[in-house]
Amino acid sequence: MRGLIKNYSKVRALDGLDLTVERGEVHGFLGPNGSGKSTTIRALLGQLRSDGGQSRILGQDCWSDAVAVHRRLAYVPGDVALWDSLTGGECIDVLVSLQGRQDRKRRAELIERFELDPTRRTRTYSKGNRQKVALIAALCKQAEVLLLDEPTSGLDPLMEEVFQRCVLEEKDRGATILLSSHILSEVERLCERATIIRQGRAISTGSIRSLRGGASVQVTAVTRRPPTDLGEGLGVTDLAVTGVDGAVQIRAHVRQEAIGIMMGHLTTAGIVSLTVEPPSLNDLFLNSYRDETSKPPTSPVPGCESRQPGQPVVTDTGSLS
Amino acid sequence: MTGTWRTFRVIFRTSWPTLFFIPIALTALTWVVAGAISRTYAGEAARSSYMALVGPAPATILLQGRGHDLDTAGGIFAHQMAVIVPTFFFLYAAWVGVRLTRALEDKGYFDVITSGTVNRLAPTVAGILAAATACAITGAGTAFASLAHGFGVVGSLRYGAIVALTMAVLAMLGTVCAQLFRHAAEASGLALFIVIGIYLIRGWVDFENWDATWTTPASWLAESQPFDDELHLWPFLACLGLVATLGLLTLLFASRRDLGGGLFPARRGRAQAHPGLCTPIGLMARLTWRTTAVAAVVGVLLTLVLASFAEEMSSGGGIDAQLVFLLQLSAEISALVGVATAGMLAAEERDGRTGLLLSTSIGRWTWTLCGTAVALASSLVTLIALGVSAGIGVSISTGNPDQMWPAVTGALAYAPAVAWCMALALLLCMIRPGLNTIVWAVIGWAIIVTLPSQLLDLDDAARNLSPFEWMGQVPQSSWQSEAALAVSVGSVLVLAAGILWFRRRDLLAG
Repeated sequence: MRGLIKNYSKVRALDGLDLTVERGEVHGFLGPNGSGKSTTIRALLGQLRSDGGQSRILGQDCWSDAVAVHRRLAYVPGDVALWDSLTGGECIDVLVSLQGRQDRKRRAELIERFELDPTRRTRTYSKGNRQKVALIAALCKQAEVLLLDEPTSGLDPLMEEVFQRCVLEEKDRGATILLSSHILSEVERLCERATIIRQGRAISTGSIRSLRGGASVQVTAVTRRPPTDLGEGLGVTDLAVTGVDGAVQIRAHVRQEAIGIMMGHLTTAGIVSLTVEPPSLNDLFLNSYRDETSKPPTSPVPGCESRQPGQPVVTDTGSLS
Repeated sequence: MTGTWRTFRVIFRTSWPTLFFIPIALTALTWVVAGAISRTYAGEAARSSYMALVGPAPATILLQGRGHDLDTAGGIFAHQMAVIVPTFFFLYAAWVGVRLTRALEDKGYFDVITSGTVNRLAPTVAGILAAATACAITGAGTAFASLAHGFGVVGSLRYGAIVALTMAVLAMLGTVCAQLFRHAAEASGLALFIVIGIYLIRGWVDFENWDATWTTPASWLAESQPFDDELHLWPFLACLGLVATLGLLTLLFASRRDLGGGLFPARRGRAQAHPGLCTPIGLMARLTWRTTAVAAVVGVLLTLVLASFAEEMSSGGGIDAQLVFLLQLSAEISALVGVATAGMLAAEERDGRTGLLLSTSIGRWTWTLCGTAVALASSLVTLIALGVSAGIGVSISTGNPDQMWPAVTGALAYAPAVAWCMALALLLCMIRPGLNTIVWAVIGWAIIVTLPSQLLDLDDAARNLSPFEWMGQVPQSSWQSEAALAVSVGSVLVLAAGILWFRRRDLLAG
């Protein structure tokens, strides 16, 4: 997907979005509500006609070759709407059969793993059960590409665990998966790479490790004397210095390139204790969301790219771009 | 009751078009009827002629009931409205009764609302109040239309009041039905059967001149004799009593069922789909067969009952005139089926199921063509079934079995008009789901043209707004083959335009 633009009347939902998912990877897709995640997935499904840019899956155009693309993908929406008068089992069969394949054994296995009662009418299902129906139908297909739009919303922790195991199995099978989610622990566990989107633009993309590398670590230290200089302006933020039992406690967020400088100053002040916490995806996520200026980082660490709209992303080896 | 007013405001905010636009449309319809009556029956001679010829005619008695005070324009107005009120006003009242007490649960708002400081019965009471508001607005509009055309202050107010009260009875029947089932569609189906049943019982009682006008609210409408000098109070009291009883029954049922449930538990079903369901056309047929079946059963009953009085209704004027009426009505009911199926496509898209379905290997062409095929097949099957039932009824009435074939072929003569309505609904649905509801108005007008047009003295321009008129008065006059061909070609073009448009636009949800 390159430079994708989608306008809803006067509102620009996608503003030159670039997104590449490599073949065989599980790619996290993160962003606040209304940032354009679902619009992106709907554009990939050919449900929305873009106003600019291009989107391709497995080398085929998402709009003009939609049916050909759909033969090779499976989709789970975040809010699953099913046919009220049908049972869960009937809905699964309809969705799977319309793809042209039926694997009864796999269907039965997934129904058992997700603990779904297939004889109940879907209008009696909870949100989680409706979600299970869409998940089972998608996983039954054993598609080359899986588009999952917040697939675990409504699932209990046990079922979420089942879902994660299934996704890892799909990955081992070689499937390419785009996972839009707000559950960061899920993304951390399942995804090698992730893209963070805000206001219809990808603000950073890369491996989870490199994304973490681009964020600040939290340093908590107790020193005997107040440090004279902590390198403010060189990547130290949120600095708090307080007195504790005759010593000095220092808390700060420090960019990785500034850690060495800070350590020198702390050593000079006499370190009593020191804790350095690596950034969680949660920190990264919140930092990205809270940045009101919406300017992409200008000095990404290697492997973590920041994007400008329309800028080419990765060489065209990706299965979904 | 805590939270009733707040819930009423929620219902009002989410359903105000239903509460205002339809009553305004019904008022406009009443205005047209009142205007036509005041012009046509301004003179005493015309009124005397109506009282002597039209009022006692068997067809009039069957369709409109026994008339009262037919020597006054107001009495004739009430007599003419006796076919329109059950057809449109009662159906609306029953539907609004179901919708407003069940819509919150169906849309998932109910749990959110009742989790606040709201009595668990407050949404039901608020729904009842909202339905009563709709009835009151329609009654007030009816009184206004009557008053504006000079039918007298007292008579107009009494007529508006009895219309509102009889509608309230049907609305309360709707609220009771809404408590029985888990889903509004099932409740609406039952309410529809009750309204049709009330109309048929009223027709039977009046036709046989039985002393049983107490049996249905449709009879109470006439028995209130609003334009008489004397006040006939019992129909008003009967309505009030039944409204109160049904209202209490609604609250009793509501207090005994689970939120989001019904008194009748949902049945379990098949764990695996029948192979026939696993195709786009099979799925579409499964989603729409209930609507088709209900319309077909109601239509068959209606045409069978009306046709079985064809000989008496013709009053020596020939059986073909009665067949025109029956077959046009059959075609309009069949068109309703086609338009409802098109509406199903719109609902599928609005609710996001089309998006899910189109993420499989089914393309937009395939889905819309399957929808079109099912809509066309449903309406044609209904048309043939209604043609057969009309034929059987007329054969019974005349004792001549040869009436069967002309009835079936006559019904099929209206097929192009049925296809036109369906194509128009599909085009609008393809442009934007929701626009297709406009076609209901076209069919509504066609029913008005079919039912009382002779008495309303509609001119040709007004009559020709109904596509069913374009086919000719089959079998009384010859079939307009050129018009039928033009309408058929137009339907195909309209349909093609709709599908092309749908292929190029965004899906609403998915």
